[in-house]
Amino acid sequence: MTTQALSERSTRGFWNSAYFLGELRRSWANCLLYFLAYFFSLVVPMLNDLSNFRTSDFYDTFTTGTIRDLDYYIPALYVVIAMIAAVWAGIAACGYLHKRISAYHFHSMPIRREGMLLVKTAVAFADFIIALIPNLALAMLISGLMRENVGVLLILGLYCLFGFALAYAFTVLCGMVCGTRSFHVIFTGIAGFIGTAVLCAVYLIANTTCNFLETDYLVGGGELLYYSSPFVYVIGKLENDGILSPLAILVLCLLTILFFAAALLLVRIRPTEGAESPMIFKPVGTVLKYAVMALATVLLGYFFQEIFGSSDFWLLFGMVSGAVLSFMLMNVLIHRNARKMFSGLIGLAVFAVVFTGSMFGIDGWFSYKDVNGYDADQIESIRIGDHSRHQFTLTSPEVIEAVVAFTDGYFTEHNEMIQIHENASYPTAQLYSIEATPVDTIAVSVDEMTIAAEYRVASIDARTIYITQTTKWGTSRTWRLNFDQYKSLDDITTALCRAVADSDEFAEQYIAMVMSTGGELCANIHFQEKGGDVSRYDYEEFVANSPSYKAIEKELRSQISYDFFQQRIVAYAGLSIDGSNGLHLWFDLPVFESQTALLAATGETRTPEQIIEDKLADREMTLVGVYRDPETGMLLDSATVEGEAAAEVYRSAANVLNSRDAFFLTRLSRSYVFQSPEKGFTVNFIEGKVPQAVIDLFAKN
Amino acid sequence: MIQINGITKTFGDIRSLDKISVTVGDGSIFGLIGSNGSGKSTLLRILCGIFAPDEGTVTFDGQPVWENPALKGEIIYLSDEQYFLPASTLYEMRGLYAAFYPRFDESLYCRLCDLFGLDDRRRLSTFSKGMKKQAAVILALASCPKYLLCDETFDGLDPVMRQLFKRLLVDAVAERGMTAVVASHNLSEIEDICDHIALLHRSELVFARELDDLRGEIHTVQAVFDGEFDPTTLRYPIVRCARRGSMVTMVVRGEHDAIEASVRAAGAQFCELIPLTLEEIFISEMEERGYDYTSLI
Repeated sequence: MTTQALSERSTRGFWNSAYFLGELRRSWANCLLYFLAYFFSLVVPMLNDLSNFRTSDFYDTFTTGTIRDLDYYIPALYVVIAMIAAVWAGIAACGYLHKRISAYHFHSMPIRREGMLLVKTAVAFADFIIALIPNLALAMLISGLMRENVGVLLILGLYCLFGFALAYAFTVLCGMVCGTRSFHVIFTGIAGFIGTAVLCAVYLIANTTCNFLETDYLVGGGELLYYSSPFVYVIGKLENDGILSPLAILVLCLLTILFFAAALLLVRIRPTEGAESPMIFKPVGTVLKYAVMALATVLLGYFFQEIFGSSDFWLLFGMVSGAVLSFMLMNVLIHRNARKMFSGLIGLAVFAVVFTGSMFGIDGWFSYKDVNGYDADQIESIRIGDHSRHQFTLTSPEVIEAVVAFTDGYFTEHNEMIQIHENASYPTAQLYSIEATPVDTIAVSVDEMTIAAEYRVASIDARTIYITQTTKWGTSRTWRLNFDQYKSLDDITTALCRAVADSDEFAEQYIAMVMSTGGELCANIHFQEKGGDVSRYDYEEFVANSPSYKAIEKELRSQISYDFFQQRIVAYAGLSIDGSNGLHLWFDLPVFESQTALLAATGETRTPEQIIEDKLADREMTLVGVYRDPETGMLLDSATVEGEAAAEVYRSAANVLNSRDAFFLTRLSRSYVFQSPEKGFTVNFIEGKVPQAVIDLFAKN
Repeated sequence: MIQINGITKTFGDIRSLDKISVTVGDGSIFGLIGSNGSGKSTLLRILCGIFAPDEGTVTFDGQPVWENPALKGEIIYLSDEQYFLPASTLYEMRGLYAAFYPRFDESLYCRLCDLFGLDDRRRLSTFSKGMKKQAAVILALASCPKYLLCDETFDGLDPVMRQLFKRLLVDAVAERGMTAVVASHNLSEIEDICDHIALLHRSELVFARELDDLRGEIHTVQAVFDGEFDPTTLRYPIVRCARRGSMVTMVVRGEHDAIEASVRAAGAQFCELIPLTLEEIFISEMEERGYDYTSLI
């Protein structure tokens, strides 16, 4: 197409191909930058894997082309790179608007303002796509050489493109309300994460207010944090889940379109003469100013309190300093004039009143929630656990009533104690010194539950139980009961356990878990899938005095001990073998609600008992665990349990299994090998993708 | 034809233009003069669609200019500060202009480069201020616009280049019927080429007239009186009057012959009328509005 022909098209005003091509040629440096970022973060590590792949026979054996999924590629990292590239590109795209001379030049040219933005957007996307495609192609080639699934790379590419689009649209929208490049950068950062910062500020207030109410959900990886910013959502979800749901993608796509549409609207009404003034639209500057002031007030207040002491004076000092300093700073930035530092003092006064009111409001709200649980008749279920992980879910009215009564008493009693010791450091030295004494095993017998623990001072959380109450309307609150703060550990724990264990519902749902750390080998049917973390030693406190316990009591004294937890629902349990060399073998085993369900699921014709017997008869059984570097997938080590030791494992399992008609060990569905303190690596095979060779080894005669 | 009807533009609390109405005929060179901050550049930026007026309309041959790419393809704005793409050469800028302006003339571009003696492969950032101005002039003229809006274009050009630019401007008007609006403080430069003049002062239009008419309406009168001269005896408004001995120098509004007759009737032994330069007209007009340096010192 000739220049003349291309120029003819410029008269349409929304697009100019010649200009697009010219800009694309001029932006080769950006393209190269993006290319290098992906080359070194994606392609080079894969080349390293390819090198390992060629030198490891074992890896060769166990690579089946299905081990790797999107998680392998750390999608969050590549999306973050895409977002950084998008912010860079967005700032560059708006650059012409932020200098008076260039804004005048381009706005005098025969193209609509929206058209100019569209061309620059097209250039930004073209740069990114041109940089991404060769990297993805190389990655696919390497992946193919390793007989891996190349399809996930396409998904990865789409995620990157999606992240780029979201961040670009947002950055450009921010650029439309700013008149200088530096303010554009500042504003994009603040606007992008203002929700997250506000949430963190509320968390700070809540955390210092609440003695019992669990507030970590605000920032502790809870869903609420994700919703504070689209960027936090995308990065957080990809980091933790490795994938975005279709609904989330749809919503974020709509958000991207909304951002860009708003940018197109603003570029049209944005006055050109506003170039080189920080904020084009005055109200936006005002909102930004007071948002920053609110955050600075909270953060500096708690910073001073943290640094200089826990007194209210330093909190107040920090807050006043934060408000005034940020007020002055924002005035200077917005007006670009140091003399305007104190402009709008009435606004500062109004802010002080509103902020103080808000502080009292938030403080009062959390204070109220802290010691006021739901009424028992509002509660639908109660979960009891450690941290945010729950183990027991109870729904019977009598249990709920008992737990509510218990917590009410706890709040009242300990609030009084906190009031008494409010001037002392927390926890008081006196109380802490009592608890600091290492305690050997404590066993508190209740009718149906024995609490055993090996407490060590280092783990305060070990003595914290979390109770989550969920109402009929789906709202929930979690309270933490810190048994480590006061000497009344035994009484309180016993009281809570009694409240729970006395109920029929608990007896019906749960049987005891037994664990011993004394044995060289430990068979552990875990309940990680249900939220429990048996790798934490504090879970050992839940030891049951149940028929199952009685059945295996003898083994507890031997060199082999067992850990057992069961729920009457379909789930995965695990088999863990702790080696004397510090290695752990961990196999996940399916748990079925009944033998009928098991047989229906597997097509097995033998009864569970027969299968166990068959396995026990086979003294040549071998359990194999493999140790693989999670980053490279390279085989590091392996361990084998065979012969009598393996048979012992199965026999012990059979003792437990036969005592309850609830679950059944059938086949190796997962294999985990992890947490070697000596080697420091974590490896897993994903469910359903265990190499057949491992399964064969496991069942080898 | 450029029709400006009741244009008003404010920036915050500052009113930059206040109800300006002017008509610029096709194929003319229209001079825009005025005091500092009178709104000349603002008016030009409204004319080329950079600013939207708060009130009033601007039309070129009946078409509004605001967000009208087809019309803006006919208009080139030569800003007082030149913008060039970062790290670009004149040749690369040629590509940008060629992409946007349908009538961009490659051969004219080459000829102008030769005329101004600029190396179009050299980075523009290495050009001097005057050379950058020349580069902007080359790009503007090579785009063959129907309307050329120049803001202080003579600033920074050496006298030879100023003459060259004026010559090229006049040629473009004569050969292609181009219309030019030239805003400048260098009144002696635009005096040679402008047909029409508009004077802005304090955001308002003082007048918009043909230059020849303007010249015919105000004169410097040098006369010698034997005795006393009473200025009130003249029937024409005297803008300025100074006496040195028997010689009186006046700036008087009115027709040439009538003024001369009136002065002689007042008893002048000698009378000579000299046409004012544009700069003198400007100063005279400004003085009438209290804007003269004697009142400032």
